[in-house]
Amino acid sequence: MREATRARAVLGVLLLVSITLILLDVRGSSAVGGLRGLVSAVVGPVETAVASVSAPFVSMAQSATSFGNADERTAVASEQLGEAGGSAAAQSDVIRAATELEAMLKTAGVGGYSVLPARVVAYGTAQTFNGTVTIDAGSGDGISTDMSVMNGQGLVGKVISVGPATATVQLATDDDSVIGARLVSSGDAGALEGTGIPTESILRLLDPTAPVAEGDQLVTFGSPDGRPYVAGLPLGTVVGLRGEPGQADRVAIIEPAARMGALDVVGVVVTAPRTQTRDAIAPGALTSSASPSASPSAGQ
Amino acid sequence: MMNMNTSRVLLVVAALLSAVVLQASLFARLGLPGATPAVLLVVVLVFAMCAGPGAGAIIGFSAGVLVDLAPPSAGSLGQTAAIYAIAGFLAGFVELKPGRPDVQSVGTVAGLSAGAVIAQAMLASVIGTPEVTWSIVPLLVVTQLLYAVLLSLVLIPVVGTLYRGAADDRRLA
Repeated sequence: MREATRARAVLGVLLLVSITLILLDVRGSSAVGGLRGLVSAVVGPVETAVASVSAPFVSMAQSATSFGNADERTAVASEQLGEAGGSAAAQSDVIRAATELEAMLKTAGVGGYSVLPARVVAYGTAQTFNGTVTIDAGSGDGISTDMSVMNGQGLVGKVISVGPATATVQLATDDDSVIGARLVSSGDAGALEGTGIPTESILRLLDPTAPVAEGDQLVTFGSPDGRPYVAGLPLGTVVGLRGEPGQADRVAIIEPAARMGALDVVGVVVTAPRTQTRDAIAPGALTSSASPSASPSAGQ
Repeated sequence: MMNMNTSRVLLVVAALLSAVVLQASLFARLGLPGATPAVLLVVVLVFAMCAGPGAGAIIGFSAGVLVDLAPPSAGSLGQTAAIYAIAGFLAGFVELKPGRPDVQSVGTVAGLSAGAVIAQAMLASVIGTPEVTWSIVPLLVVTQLLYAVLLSLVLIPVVGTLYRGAADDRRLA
């Protein structure tokens, strides 16, 4: 019984400390920021190491749990390699990563962005509602907060905190994310809001009577100096509409361009183009570059 | 609380660090449906069942602070710490018997893991960050229950044996 009393006292103290920490952090204490930097300096590189060791395994699991072009390519690649065991998985993982890198650089080239390639090494846990990922590049690589992060399909998110060798990216589908967006077809502007669900975002158009139809493409509106979001990156496609034209709560359901559940190679936009290239990466440019370019016949 | 020696503290620290990294860099990246398997919380609960409520609360709090600070966490520091401290405290009243995982220990781990999901959503919506997606909470709870059962079947024997073994190091040395 005495131990239970003492344990209750311990718990009480710990809860008080927790509440103090929450208050400090919510008020933006610099001490908490320093602590975060310290932990990310230690844990970040370990996450990078674990991610690189487990990469083949993870990409196999991702292709088993989701669907899409990249997965089909991976499946074809591993079939053509025709080798059993880990080496085939490792090779197909390398081919997939190279394909993703190629697609990302192509998209960045069309938009005229200077990008720094990086890989996603950790995901925020679903039950803490953190729509965030860790990438294996940090302040040492010239990355700072409010830079745009993209991949071959389109916008991934923005950098929200930076450690020495890693950085944390808030995904465009995070519940806290709001991004200026523009419809390619009509040029109408709106706000793309994340819902916390990786396959579904919501678009609120500034003009509630603006014409919008299923299949319409959405690109980033762009921020001044391209931070946090550069202009003209694909955001997604309209897959549904809610509400009538003219209603204030009329929204469009958007399927994000980037598959947030299976991110690997991404690019951090370190320099936006000097001249604004709005809508430069219109879907026409993308459909030609997104055609399957992996023909891993030289793999053997 | 009195049976924590140096080697046990080292074991707990090493286990918590490994679990944090494995959870973020391996399990969260698998893209499994629903919740991310809470490896860290399961490890905390097994330690708590070995060490009692006081030590369980301390281990839970430390694990929570670690996961609140480690990238890519964007929530406030202390949020997970408070919930894991309570979970560790409660699990401490269940005693883990050596041998195969029994219904009592697996049930404790699964129940508290699923409860932690609800507590996490409630605390986050009170604090306001990060924004809570309530529509997916039922799915998170159900999947976490399942993942916790599977994880506990592996982790209860492994972590339990390591913890008990760490007590005998002075005799071995």
